[in-house]
Amino acid sequence: MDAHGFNWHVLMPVAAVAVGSLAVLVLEVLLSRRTGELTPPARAASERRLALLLAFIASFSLLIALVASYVLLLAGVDTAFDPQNAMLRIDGLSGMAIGIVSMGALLSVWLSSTYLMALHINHGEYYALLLLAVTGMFIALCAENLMLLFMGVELMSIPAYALAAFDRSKLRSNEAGLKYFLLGSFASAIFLYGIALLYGATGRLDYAGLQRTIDPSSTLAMAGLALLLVGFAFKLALVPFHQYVPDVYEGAPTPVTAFISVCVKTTAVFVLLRLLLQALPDLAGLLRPIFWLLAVASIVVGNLMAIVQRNVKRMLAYSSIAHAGYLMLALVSETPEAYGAMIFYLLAYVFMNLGAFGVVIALAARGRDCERIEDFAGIASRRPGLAAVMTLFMLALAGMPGTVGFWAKFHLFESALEADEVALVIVAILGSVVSFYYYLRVPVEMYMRDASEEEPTHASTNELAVLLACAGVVLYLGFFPNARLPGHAAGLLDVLRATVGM
Amino acid sequence: MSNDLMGDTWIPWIPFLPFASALLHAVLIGMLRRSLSPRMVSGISCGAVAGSLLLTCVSFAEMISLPGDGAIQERLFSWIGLGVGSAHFDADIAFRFDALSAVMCLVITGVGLLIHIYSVGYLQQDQRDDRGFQRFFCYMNLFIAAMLVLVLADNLLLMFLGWEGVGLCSYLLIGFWYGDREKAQAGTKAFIVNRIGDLGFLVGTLLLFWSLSESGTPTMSFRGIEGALPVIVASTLSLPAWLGGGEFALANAIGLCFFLGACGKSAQLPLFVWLPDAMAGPTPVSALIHAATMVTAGVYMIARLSFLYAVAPEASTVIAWTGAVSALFAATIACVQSDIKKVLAYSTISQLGYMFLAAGVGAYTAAMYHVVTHAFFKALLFLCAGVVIMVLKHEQDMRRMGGIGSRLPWTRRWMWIGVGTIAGVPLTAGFFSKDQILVASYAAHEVPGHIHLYWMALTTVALTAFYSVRLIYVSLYGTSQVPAEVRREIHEPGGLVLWPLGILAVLCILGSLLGVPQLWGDLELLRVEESNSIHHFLARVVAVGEPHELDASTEWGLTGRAIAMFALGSTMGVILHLLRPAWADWLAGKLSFAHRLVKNAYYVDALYRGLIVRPLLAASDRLLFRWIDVRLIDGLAVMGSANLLRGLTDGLLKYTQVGLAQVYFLVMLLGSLAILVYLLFESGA
Repeated sequence: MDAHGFNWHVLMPVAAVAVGSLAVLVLEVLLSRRTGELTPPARAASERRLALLLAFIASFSLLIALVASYVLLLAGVDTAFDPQNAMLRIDGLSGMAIGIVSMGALLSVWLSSTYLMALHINHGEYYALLLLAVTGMFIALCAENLMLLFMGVELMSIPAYALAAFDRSKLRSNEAGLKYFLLGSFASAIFLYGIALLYGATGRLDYAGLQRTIDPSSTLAMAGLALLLVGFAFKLALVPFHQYVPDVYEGAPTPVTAFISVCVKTTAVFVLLRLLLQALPDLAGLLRPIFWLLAVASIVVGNLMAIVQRNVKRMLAYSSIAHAGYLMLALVSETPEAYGAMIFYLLAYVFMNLGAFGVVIALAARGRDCERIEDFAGIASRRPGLAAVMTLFMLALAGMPGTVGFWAKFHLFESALEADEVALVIVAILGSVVSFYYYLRVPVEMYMRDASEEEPTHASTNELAVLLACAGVVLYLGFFPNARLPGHAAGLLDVLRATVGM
Repeated sequence: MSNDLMGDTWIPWIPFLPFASALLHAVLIGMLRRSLSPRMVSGISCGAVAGSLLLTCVSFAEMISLPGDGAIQERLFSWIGLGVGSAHFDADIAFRFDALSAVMCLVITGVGLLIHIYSVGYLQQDQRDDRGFQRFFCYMNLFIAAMLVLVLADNLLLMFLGWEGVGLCSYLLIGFWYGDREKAQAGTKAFIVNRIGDLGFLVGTLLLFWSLSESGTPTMSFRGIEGALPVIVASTLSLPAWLGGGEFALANAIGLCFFLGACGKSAQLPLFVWLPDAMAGPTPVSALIHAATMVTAGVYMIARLSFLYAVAPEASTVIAWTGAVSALFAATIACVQSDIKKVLAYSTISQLGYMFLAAGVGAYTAAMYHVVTHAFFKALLFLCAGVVIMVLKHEQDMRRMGGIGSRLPWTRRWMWIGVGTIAGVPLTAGFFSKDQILVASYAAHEVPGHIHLYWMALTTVALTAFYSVRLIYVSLYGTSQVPAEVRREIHEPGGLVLWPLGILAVLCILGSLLGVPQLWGDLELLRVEESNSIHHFLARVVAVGEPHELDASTEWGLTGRAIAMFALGSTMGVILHLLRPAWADWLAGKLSFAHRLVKNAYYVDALYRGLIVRPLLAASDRLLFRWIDVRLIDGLAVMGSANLLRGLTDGLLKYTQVGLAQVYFLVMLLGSLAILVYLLFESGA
């Protein structure tokens, strides 16, 4: 406890990943020097050992963050740093968000190591950058001050740009990184300008202060708000701020795509949720049509564009745009049930989407991605287990009953219906129907087309572990969506609703 | 129900063990495309069924140690929970192990285990590929699990789950050799005919639910329905004007609906046509599913709902008549069939007819007793027939058999026991169970025309004796029609096949101890401590009317008539098939019209084909398929909407993914402007 009455222990998750990232960076520098004079095979082995060590450190720090966030959640911590001039707040919402993000990051790390080795881009900075991005996410998730929020978001984004371009020797990866960087900077500039305008209009940067002082009749404040929303829409990949997504998802190394698609989106949703709940509750009526339009546009464009894709990563990119659109249903409905359903959706999305990308990663042959839809032909006969889990993930993403994807959509749509958003729900359901077409094309390809005569690859143990874990969660929550959390008296859905704290 | 044992029992494991085994096989061959070695497969599958049998025995011992009419009740979790009006409706995954389900469980797991073991030996002779072996045991285990769910279910909905489950397995196993188009079609036929019956089951369930929720006590559990019986008895259905109007007792309506379901599952008139075709499946399947267990599910259901049928006299009369007519009708057909399995199939229909006759005249315990004894002797006969078919390299036509009995000494002995039991040699299990039914139908004064029922049943006794004697003589004795080179290679199969036969034969004999009639039990000679023990045991659960008022001399007279009929039938069989085979042909020639009629099963199949199947197919093909489906649904709705979306995407949206960052900037800028303008205008700033 310091003078402000702030318990520093609650910053454990942030500290864990920040320290982890530095440790990875330092160890990489210290240990990789010595390999210079070794023979190539010995050097390869040494690099391999080093990479595994770094991956281990990264997952260890993420695991600490995960456990710490869970402990915070169980303890029901709600504490703010410097109540007078609010900067960050650790409460149920940030605890839950940190938990989901660190889970996603942890699974991404486990999916990375074998893939990176296969593509010979197994550099230690990878884990450092990833942890740094996670640190930024955590800061943004806890922030209740626009300045700190901006810092967090930038700390998240800049390593992500570098990660997208991580496969330096490949043109597409470079292109992805550059596009992500250019468009991301553009969005950041708009975002920052929005903050500046808001500050100019109200003189406040903290959420509570903004809530008291923001005035809908002030041109300056409204302009600032609009620009702020654009920044969020970009990070969430909502139409029409989505166009970078397919290019980046396709070009970036697949584990990076998995990480970005899950963690960045989760962070953006939670941050936006906190902003709406704490700073802008009085403007809900004004913002609702914007979210409505963004939702409809994202669902329609995302699903339709996914139909024509021939590349699975690109298809998943467009489908992630559609999923972002579904998430907007909750922001339109504005009920605790809807917010709880949205968080459940994010949780489900972590496992469904990481599982799907995990299969793409596990299928990557030596040095070559397996990402065209034709590459999936006949997988079922060569890799029946992988084909089975991929089918499961595709069905889950489409929203098949018996998988978690069904309940995610069901609760979201149900709460939107209760908020009388009938038209929006109809659009969302039609979108889901369309999505079956492109999701099921993958199983069709895997089970009903003849195999190309490629040699079978073998997925590594850690990839299989991630896939099994994801498949297990997708099925378990598919049958018991309100499963009781370990150590917690209430069911999952009730906990999620409670974290929104309305 | 203070005597019940609740919770923490082995009951859920009884169906779960075979289910888990089936699931394992399914995952292995269906999803992972790996097959285990036959030894592993048979070990796992037979082990699972043996485990179920063991747990059934343990639970049985536990149950009979409970005081009074206690049962074991296990509620796993709530399956469907609804609020209907002010009342609450729950259908649980709950099992109830009472006297009735105990008897069924013992038969299913016991006979099931024997047939599983037999199948291992049988399939080793007939192995087309390893995956087929595993697939077979996957379905068989799934069947056992579904059948156990059916009999253990505590409520109608769960029972329906098992009911459909056994139907599915039956379909899968009839079409087990799906490469053969005819066999696949037999499976389809069984499935479709059963759907008609299932419609009855469903309508009955819905009628029950509707009437009970009208009165504010919606429930599906059997004891709940029994408790609400006064409500059902008091309700009536008003018939629509085009049916003549008037009121119809609800209990009768529900009873008839459920009986339609039973007709489908148990192959009674008019829905029997699928069972003879179902013989396309492997012979162990015919023994297990289409003789010993699944087809008796209809009888079980009526016994389970006996409290309802006890207050539905009209429905019961229909059941009794359907049963008696089916028994006689199928027995005549069985006398002239030449396919050995078809003989047994029609015989099964006939025996099931006996059971329904018993149920219809209110002798539910006699019906269940016949279920048990029939399971023993019919399984034995099918398995013996399986041995004959196996050694003759898939020859099923009895006209190309004969003269091989000496080569198959053990099979021959076991088959004699089976034949003796089904024909009704005095003191065998089949004799007693049939005798009980005959006596019950004779004494059932409340059923209109019960004397006719009795005479039909009695005639069937003679026919049964005739066709069973014919079965064994034509297939095993007489002049051999088997090619010499096949006959040289005939040798009896190994112990895996013979032991189950032996055990079943012993059960056929010992089964008589379960139901020694009071009359016989009182004889000094026998001195049975508790006569008709199965009756007293089942009477804890099943409705029992007041005992019939027949004096001993009448009953002895009835028994004497039955024995005489048996003697007549078997003598005729011996004369026509062993002593003077020429007479049989002569007789067939003299009565050629009748012979042809019976041989073609009274042309019922052809009738259905002409009256129902053809018009339906034609209408489906011309109108529903070519017009509505192909043009309207597929063409306009499905492909039309898909083409529209595709066209939209291809024509317009595709051009949005240009890949140029400059364009992306522009779009983002426009989007930002739109939001900006909206906010500024809408907020009134």
